Amino acid sequence: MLTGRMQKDEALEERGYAKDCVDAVASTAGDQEAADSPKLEMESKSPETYPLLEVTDGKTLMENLASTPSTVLFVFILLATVEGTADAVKQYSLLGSRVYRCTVDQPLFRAVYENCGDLNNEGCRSALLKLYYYRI
Amino acid sequence: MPWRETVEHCELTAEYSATANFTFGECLAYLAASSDMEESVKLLKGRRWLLDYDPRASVATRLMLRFFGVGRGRGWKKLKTCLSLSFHGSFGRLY
Repeated sequence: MLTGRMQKDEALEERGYAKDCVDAVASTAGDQEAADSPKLEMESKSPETYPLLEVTDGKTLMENLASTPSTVLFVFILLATVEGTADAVKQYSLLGSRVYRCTVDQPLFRAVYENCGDLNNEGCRSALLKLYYYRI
Repeated sequence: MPWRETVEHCELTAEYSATANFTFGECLAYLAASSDMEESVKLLKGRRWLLDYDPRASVATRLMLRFFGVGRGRGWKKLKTCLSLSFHGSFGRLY
């Protein structure tokens, strides 16, 4: 669904009808209520995410949970910058800095998180460039 | 400029294309970030096929260029290919 290849029913058939899967599919389709459970879990494990999750829609949340490979995460960060959604950029980069701790990626994602509150500032451009040159 | 030297000795093989498309992307991003938009657009138009050789390099570079005000970003079809190549098979609990 996230890549536009499946409709809701097809996604459910593909992934099964366990509660987590049903919630994930419903969240991706925009159901805020279904997104509450993974949000609560994320908040309890990482309080730093609280202000970001408050403004996150179900689809962005599922993109976050699905984008384990850092290349995907980086593409989502770039998409969010092009769309001008600084909150999503911060959320993805925070995720990256947590998932890739103890790797070279960690400080690069962290720099994007710290500098990209305003997408037009020089620090944000520089942080994105560093991540691009490392990831590409 | 290293890119010009590279072009002079260019031999079109799969291995060359697979390596050069990432380097070409880096070069375009450097030009766009240095505000040399004209050169970046010129190179992108002239060698679009090289950048498109690998969808991952193509998508990341074009989005980066778009962020710096060059080009129109990446088409949805290519983006889907890029994401599908790299998406995790299942939803992990990451936090």
